[in-house]
Amino acid sequence: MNLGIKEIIDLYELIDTHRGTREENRAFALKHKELLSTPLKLLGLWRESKLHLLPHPHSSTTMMKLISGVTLFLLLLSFALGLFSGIGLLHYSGDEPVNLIYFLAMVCLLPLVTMILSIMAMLRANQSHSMLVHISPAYWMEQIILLLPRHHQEQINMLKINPLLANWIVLKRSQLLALSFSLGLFLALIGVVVSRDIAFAWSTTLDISPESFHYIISLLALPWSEFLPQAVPSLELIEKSQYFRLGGKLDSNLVSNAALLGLWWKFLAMATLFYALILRFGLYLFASFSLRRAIERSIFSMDGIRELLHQMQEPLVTTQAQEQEPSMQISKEKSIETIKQLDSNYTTVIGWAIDESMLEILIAQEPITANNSYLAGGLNSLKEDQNIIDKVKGNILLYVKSWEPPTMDFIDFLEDLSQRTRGEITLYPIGTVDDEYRSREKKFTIWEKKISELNDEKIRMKR
Amino acid sequence: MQRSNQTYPRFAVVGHPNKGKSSIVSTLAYDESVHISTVPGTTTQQRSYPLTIDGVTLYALFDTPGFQRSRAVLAWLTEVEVPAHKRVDRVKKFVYEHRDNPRYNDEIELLEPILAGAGIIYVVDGSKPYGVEYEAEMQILEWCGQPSMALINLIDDTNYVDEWKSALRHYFQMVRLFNPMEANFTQHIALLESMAQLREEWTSSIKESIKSFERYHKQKIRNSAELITELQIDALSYVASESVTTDEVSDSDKELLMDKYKGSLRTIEKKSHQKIAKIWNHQLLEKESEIPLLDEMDLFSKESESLFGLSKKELLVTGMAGGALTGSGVDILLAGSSLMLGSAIGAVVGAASVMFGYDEVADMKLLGWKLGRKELQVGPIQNPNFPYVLLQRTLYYTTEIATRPHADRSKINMDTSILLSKIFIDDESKKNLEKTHQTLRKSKVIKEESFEEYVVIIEKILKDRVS
Repeated sequence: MNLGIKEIIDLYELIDTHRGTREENRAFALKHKELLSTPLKLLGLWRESKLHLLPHPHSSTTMMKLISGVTLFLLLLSFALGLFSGIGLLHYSGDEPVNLIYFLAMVCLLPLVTMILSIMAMLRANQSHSMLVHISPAYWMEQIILLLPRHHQEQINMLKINPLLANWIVLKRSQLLALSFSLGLFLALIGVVVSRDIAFAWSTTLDISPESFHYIISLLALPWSEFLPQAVPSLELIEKSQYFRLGGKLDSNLVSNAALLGLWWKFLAMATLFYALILRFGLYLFASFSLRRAIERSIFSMDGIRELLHQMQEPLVTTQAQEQEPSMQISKEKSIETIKQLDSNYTTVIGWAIDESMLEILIAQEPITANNSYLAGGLNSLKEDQNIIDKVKGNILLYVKSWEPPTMDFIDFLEDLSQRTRGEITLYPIGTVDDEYRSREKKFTIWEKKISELNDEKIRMKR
Repeated sequence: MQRSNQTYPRFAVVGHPNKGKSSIVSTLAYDESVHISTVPGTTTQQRSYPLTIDGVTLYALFDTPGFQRSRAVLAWLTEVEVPAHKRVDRVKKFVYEHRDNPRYNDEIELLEPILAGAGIIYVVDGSKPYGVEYEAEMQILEWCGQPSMALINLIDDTNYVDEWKSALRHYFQMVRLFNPMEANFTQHIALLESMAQLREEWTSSIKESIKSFERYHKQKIRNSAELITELQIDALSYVASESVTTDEVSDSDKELLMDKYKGSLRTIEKKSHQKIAKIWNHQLLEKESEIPLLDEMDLFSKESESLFGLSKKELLVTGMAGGALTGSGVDILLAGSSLMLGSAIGAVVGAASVMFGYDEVADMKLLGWKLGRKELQVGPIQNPNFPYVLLQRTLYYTTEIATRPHADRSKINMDTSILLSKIFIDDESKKNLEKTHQTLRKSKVIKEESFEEYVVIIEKILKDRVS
């Protein structure tokens, strides 16, 4: 389907109020896969599928009615103007013939000049400030809209039409009004010719010989001279239809050739038909085509259209979890005793998940004495750990690797140890060799937090 | 519509607590909502992160809790003699029998996806020494009999990768280095390619995923380029106005309107940045940062101008080139009969606009209006440097956002030395961009073709910076 102003208004409103989710829009596009490469058709179909969501009557219908009403009024006005101008120009009093130069100017010169202006305006229609567009009578139609009730004005103002599109709207409307005016002229000519006996003649103050005038007329009649030669005035007719105002009465020569003078109407009718109607109609078709193209181009610059098309045309990629992650349980802050200095003597020293040589180094670098030392965790079996627990007594110094977070495996061991011993357990989180066995603050805090949750008064930590 | 469980590969990211499993999942799934914490045990349940394209799942990642009682689990598994081909059944039996035992909640959660057919991605911290306590975990995973890969994550600056590699090679088919805090798109794709090799049946699905990710990446760059172009057009053509009833407009009125104008431009920039963050799935970052990126450096500050803008000399050259490019349209139209006068005049006009507009922000005009009122209007922006300041700020922001792994939760710092090295728009691009800037300064409408040209230039710059 073709997108016109009405469809654009609907799209504008739908995007604003019922854009839908990305998922919905992609699902819609996948239902119409064949249209994925033709975005305008896809948008058209999307509009149709959502149209029922808009409140009745649709703003677009109301606005189109208003615009059509105003356009019809202007069309009738220009038609009447053309009709009455034609009747006026062809008015024959019987005293002197109708000077066909006036009529020719109206049906050939005026259309040609205005069409040249229109073409120039069309060449610049893609510029936002097109002077020629702004002087068009159709442009002033907007002023008529100002006479409408306020709520209608607001509805029209709501529509933010791309200025380039607006230029083409004015240009197309101008051609339509000119066409209506010319139709009035043409009907006036036919009406007057049918209803009255008119003597056409030509008269000019300029020094133009009948031969020169014949040449000009032949040029004008060139488009139809081949297939309608009787609508091309002959030199004889031109010579016989020249008249001069001097005397104020009809020339006797003219009177004697009255029947011949009537033949001019065929030429005038063809000139009106060709220059004022056919050429204008051609220009109207071109303006309509250009407007459609301008709509197609401007539609992508409309707010939200580009995003909507992305949603429809691009595959919907999701990488995230569908369900919400449960919020973290933050346990109440508990504290644990921390010490800066180790005691000088421990009954037992245990290294958790460290090797023997490291435990020896650790004991050697502290001014402490220990009765027993054991290795727990790591490659030990749970049974071996249990044996250690069974053996321990008194105060215990327990080395742990601060960079490894406390697992429940360790917590189980610590709790069992605490139950078994009557003494204190000093937990000593150590750092890596690179850190000279000093624990980093961040790592220590992790241990401190976890161990404090045990709320065990026997346990303290060496900072 | 989802593929059946049997047809798409799944990968369980497992390991010791606090070794960056969730960070890896967050980066691979482009999901900033994954809880990442230094507190062990933050992840208590397995959570699936499927890659779906139009509802079709290509693969799924599972974030899992860390091992807590691996030795106890291994002890249970090995308390009876089990031949190799029955080991998986033994692990299944463990899960079945201990499903309701809270002691083994974490192990059950991490083993379940593996027993359901997921490949194993075992994560360790290569910046800390290898520890023997890991062996129980690795043995349990070995018993599961699934394709497996170890990822060495370098959390800190120390390096124990070699000793880790020596140990991990005994248990895993593949060992790779992957830092979720620094991984870029290329590294992500390289990791997926490794995952594709784990099992032959998974290869086509993962290869398809790689293609989809590449398309998705390009799509994000294109969408960002369009957004940046829209921002440039909206900001550079923006006009603010205020009704006034008197003939004389006071300086304070003018100042107020200028403030309003600048404020609106700041809002336009901010909204665009939020949209860019959304394209790259970084909405939370933008919401949660106390001082979001670039807020520290005001759009109209001298600092912004000197850092992101062009020098007067550069602007002159760009202005002339842009003007000449616009004028060349006339020469082409006249088939060269204008003797390149169009280009010459364009160049002069371009240079003049730089000379006259360099120190001003925007024109302020008092316009006559109907019904006895007047309107004080400011804009569009006349300063020839402003488009570059705005553009380079946004390009910088986009680059930071687009290259930031989703696991990285730190505040974005503006390191000006790095920043300077990242800002670069070549002369040819500047010339083409300037043509559009000049059009906007004249309050003209940008044609669809010019919009597309601008987008293509931005897209190219982003591609170079982001990929």
